Amino acid sequence: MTEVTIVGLLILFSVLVGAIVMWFEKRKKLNKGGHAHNQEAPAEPAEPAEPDAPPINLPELSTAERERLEKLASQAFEAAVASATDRFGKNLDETSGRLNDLVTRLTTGIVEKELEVYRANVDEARKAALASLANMQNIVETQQQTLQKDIDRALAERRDYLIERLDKKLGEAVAAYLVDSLGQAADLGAQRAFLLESLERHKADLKNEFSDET
Amino acid sequence: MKPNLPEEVYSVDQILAVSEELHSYSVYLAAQRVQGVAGEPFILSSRAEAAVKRIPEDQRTDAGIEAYRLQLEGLATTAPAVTLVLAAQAKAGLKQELVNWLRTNVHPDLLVNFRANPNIAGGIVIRTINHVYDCSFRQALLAHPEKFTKALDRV
Repeated sequence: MTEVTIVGLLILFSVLVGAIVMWFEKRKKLNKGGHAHNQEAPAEPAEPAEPDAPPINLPELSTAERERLEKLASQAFEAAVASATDRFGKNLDETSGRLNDLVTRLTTGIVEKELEVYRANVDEARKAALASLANMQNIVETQQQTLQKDIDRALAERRDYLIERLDKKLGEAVAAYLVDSLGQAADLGAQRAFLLESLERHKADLKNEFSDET
Repeated sequence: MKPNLPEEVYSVDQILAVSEELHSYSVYLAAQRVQGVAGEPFILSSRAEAAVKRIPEDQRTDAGIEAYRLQLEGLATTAPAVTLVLAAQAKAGLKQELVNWLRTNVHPDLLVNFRANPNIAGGIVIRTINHVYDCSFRQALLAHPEKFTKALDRV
């Protein structure tokens, strides 16, 4: 049963209840008005009977008897109306209760459905957020690794450069020390073998060079 | 006659000096030949004497010596040359030994100039027109500076 149907039923039920209440009030007014009229004025002359209908001779009731009958009728009518009203009230209560239950169930169902959709959406959003977070974490880790490699490489290059520079400076220092220490006193006689060996090492190059010239 | 450089003559300066001496000697011989009398003997240096000995005996006249001298001067500009840089002034014996090695193994008419440069610390630098072969101690130290650091680690 859809919400529109429920609302339509409620409107119909309200109109019906309103109509019944209005009818009941009107009836009460009519009863009161008729009773007063009967007390203040004598009964109106009876309408002329239809010419075709045979005259009915009803027994004349005394005023007291008529009042008693009217009272009894009125009481019976009121009792009947009260009973009907009571039944109607009960039915109305039951119907209202059912409707309330129905509305509650429907509302609960709708709310549950909406909650379910909401939960599903939240779950999807949570999964998307987690996926995005994981992706971002991967990117950050990759960047971190790249950065670490760059730093390591730069440090290694710097270290190699410094070591090379230190070696070079040390070599220069040693050479300068040897030059200052030996000066002109270098013993070339002791280097004789080294000198000849140096010439021997470049013998082929020298030969090639001078053979080209000649 | 192809000039044949004596072992003792190995640099341009020496060639020019010997040439000047040979020129004086040829003039002396020419004067003797013209005058026909023997004057005071002409004393040659050991290098000039070695150069004269390179001339065949039948050509050791003033003209022959002059011709040889001119060829020597020409050789000073045309012969291949090499410069040897040492850490100090080398003694004559060492120089001669190096020259002999070069003329035996590289070129028979090679001219050798010697230079002294204490900055190379030791060893030898061989310079030709086109190349420099650096076998100095300084180059050895600078070429492999890490060896010194490694040596320090072992100390």
